[in-house]
Amino acid sequence: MELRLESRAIKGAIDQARVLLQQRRVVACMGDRMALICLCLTEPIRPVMLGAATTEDEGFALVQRLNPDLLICSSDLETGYGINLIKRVHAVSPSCQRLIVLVRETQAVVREAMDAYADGVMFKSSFGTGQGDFIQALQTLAEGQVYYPEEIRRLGAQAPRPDLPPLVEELSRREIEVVSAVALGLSNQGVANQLNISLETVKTHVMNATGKLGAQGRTQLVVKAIVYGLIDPQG
Amino acid sequence: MPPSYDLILMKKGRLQIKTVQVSNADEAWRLGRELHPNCIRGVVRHERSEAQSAESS
Repeated sequence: MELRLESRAIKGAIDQARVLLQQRRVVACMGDRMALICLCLTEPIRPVMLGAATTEDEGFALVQRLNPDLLICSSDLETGYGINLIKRVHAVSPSCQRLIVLVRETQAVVREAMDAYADGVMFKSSFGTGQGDFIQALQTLAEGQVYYPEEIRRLGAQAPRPDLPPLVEELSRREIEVVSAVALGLSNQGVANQLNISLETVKTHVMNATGKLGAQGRTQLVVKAIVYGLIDPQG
Repeated sequence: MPPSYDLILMKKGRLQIKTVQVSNADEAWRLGRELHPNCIRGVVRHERSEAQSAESS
C-alpha cells in the first residue's frame, strides 16, 4: 500500500481529526511501540494525548491516574491483552469511551470485543485504506454512539454455536483464505492461482486447517469452517 | 468424466452434502442454486477427480 501523504483524503482526515478531538482527553495503549509513537506524535492527536503505554497494566494505571474520556487501544499489547484492558476500564470508568483496534480479524475476537463493551471497534488493516474508519469512529464516539462498521457487525453477529467445542488453535488468516477458496469449488491448483501461491503451499494450508478443525477431507473441512463461522462462501 | 463436486446445503438448520458431476465450479453453483434455492452454502471439488481429469487431459 502506498500512503499518499499529499492526498485530499489524508489532509481531510487530519482536519476532521483536529475538530473531532478538540477538548478530548486521550490515553493510548498499543503493543506496537512504533505505531504508538506515531499515533501520539500525529499533529491533531498530540495536543490531546494525556499519556500512552504498551502494556495492559500500564494502560490501566494511566486511565486511573489521568481520567481520560477516550482510550484508544490495540488488541495486541506487549503484555496483557487489549480487550481485557477495555473491560477493566469499563468497570472502573464507564464514562471513558473505549476504541479498540483489532489485529486479528476473526469472529471470536470481534465477539470478544463487543462483549467487552467496546464503544468502537475497528480492524488494524483498515488504516490507510481510505475507508475512513478511524475518522468515522471518532465522529460516532463524539456523538455519544457506538461505532461498529458493517464488516465488524456482520462478523460479530454470527455467534458461534455454543455446542461446539472451542478450537484448540485458531486458523491463520491465510488458512481461512485458502479454505474460503476451497469452498468456492476451486481445486488446489485453482486456489494456488487465485491466491498467487504455490500448489504445495496450498496443500500445506489445507492440511494444517484440516488438522486444526479436526476434519477428515476437504468437504468436512469446509463444513466445519462454515459451522464455526470462519467462512461464508458466496459463489 | 467430469469432475465431482460436493454441494454443501443448509436445510432446516442442518448441513447436508449432495455430490454432482459437472464441468466446473460455476456450473456446480448454478446447479445448486437451481435445485436447492437459498440452501447452498458451499461447493467443494473432489481432488481425486481433479487428478483423474489431469490424467485424462
